[in-house]
Amino acid sequence: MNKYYNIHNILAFRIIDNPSIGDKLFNDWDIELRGFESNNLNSVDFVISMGRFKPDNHNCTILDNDYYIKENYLYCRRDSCQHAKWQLEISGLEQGETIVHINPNLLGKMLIPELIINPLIWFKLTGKGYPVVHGSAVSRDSQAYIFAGRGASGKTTIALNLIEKGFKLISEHFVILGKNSVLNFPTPLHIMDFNLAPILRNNMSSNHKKSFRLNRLIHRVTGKRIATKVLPEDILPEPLVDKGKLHSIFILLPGVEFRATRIGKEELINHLVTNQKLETIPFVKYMMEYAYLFPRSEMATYWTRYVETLSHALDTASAFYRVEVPLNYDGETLKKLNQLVED
Amino acid sequence: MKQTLSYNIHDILKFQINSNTKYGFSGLPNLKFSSFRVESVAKPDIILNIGRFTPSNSNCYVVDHKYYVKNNYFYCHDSNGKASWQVEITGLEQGDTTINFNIARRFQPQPIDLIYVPLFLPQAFLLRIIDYRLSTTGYFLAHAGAVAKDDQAYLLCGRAGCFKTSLCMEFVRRAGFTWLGDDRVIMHQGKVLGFPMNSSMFEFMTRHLPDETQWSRLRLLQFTAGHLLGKHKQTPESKPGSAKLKAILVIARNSGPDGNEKVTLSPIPQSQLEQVADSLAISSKLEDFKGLGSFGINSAPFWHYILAYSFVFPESSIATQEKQPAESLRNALDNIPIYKVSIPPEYSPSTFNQIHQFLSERGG
Repeated sequence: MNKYYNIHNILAFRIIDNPSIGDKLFNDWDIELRGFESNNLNSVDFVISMGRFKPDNHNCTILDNDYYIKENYLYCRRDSCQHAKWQLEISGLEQGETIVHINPNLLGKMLIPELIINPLIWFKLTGKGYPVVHGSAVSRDSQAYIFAGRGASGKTTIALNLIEKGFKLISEHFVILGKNSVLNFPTPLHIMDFNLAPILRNNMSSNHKKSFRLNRLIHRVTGKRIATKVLPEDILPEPLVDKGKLHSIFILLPGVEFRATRIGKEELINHLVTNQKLETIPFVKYMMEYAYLFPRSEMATYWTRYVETLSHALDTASAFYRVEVPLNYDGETLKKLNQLVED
Repeated sequence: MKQTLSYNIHDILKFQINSNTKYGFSGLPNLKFSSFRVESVAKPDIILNIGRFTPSNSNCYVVDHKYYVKNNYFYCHDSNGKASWQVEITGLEQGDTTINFNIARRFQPQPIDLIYVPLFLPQAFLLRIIDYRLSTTGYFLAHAGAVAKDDQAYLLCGRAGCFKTSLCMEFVRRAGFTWLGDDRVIMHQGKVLGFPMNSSMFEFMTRHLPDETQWSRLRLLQFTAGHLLGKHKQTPESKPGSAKLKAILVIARNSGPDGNEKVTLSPIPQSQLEQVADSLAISSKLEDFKGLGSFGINSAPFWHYILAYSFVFPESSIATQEKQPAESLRNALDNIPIYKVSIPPEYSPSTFNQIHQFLSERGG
């Protein structure tokens, strides 16, 4: 497989994959990135190469027994997340041609787009002045509203609810902020039992329903939540809108009762940075290992630059809110949120 | 079985560990902090309770389905690697801190983990709280080893695997230094205060092993057996000492082309002092990811807890502290000579010899 991906003509990359026989059963592994798939491109910002590789780890400093680091280069001998395992090598980390070699096990491969490729995209986008925010976004009359928050805070629920009220969906999971604009990051919808809005339930195909029921069963038995991933075009009546003009941002905090407070830009940024850090694990570990040796490098100063670019991008927005919502969404909460957006 | 243990860290912080668990191995809970053990403390700043508890997590914000946060409070039911646990922290930011910890449910239990996980995991959380409390009082808990002689201390900095422990063992064994710690030490106004952890384990290693790479599960079993039979000292004869900071060695283990066995030492100019301070601060944070790695816990649970709390309370002192590199650390490094020490990938006694010789020539 040799695929090209293009993110709003800001960033482009290419994935080369030589799947083994076992891997071929899981050819859906790049579903997270499919929204960016494009025709062949002449030049790309980075190349991801999947499969076995021979690391070029001479003259490195060895950290924590597993990390081999030199200037512009990082190799991680082994990393894991539960049963997913992988090896990773990034050359041209900060300058020149960035080439990423990843050798995952089967489970690892399914998680690579979320655990490694997405954070790498965010890192590169921030470098170009486009910070990414973990949240959903909708638009009306080309005005964009962003709902940011941690898991189960209702980002998806509120966005899907607003679609039924005449808004259009920009993004469900992440949004890219540019100067004066909100750009979509077209991931699949992540459907779980707590965000199964009517619009999804009614449009789900039988295959999606089967997979949803299986995931729900796994959650009941093992306690581990697995999202059913559905491409937006397969389930939503209208395609995603690719951009809008930033109007307002809502930080959703599940707690006890509904309470909305207007907040300043600085407080909003503090929420957004922490939110993004929590999404960037385990990639943040690689950043820190590199930062340990090169504390003045781009990797090391990433969060400072993230704050700067955010601050720049938020200049034109009209309002920011911190919205405390009850743990379990009901019609009442959604009504109050709609009201807040309408105001 | 019930047990209460009291500890005093250089009269700066006092804490208590109460264990009430079915893992009734007397003395084992006292492994990690045994050097600070005292008969009793009057008003502990931190209390760690190990055993069943009922969380008071009502009226909380919920982050990522599982982290319960309210002002000065944190609770979660978490799992990673081979362990699953509940932890509740009250007085997280202000006042006296209480940590309640319980091992909830286990997958793939292996006998040795069954003994160590319930002991080391809560104490790792305790260490993070100690770290935070020290930083709020102007002390810095550095991720480094240190050895001292004639009231002069060398600080050995480096990530895991750069043979901090082996070098400490050699300094003690072959050059008559005292051990201030091989993983953490406290830095304060030009001084290094000892923070020896697992001191009986360190003594065991110094006595039986040429270097730390010889440590194995078999050795751990031998050590545990000796411990249960009362062969090791439960509390050391003297309290952890302190010494003036003389020099800092930043150790880098290099992969080099094969056959390069040379150790090189070069001074780091004072103009790079801030960078060294930054590296040290990052090193402490990285321990959240690495410190529990030997138990298969590599998701940095405590780091998640701090971030979950910071997400809800971005203006809190915990959130602000997470962002700022330690000011107290920079002051502590001022005018101290710093050397970069490059060592080959495999440890050999000659590594120590060359470092020791170099330091002797510089008047050590």
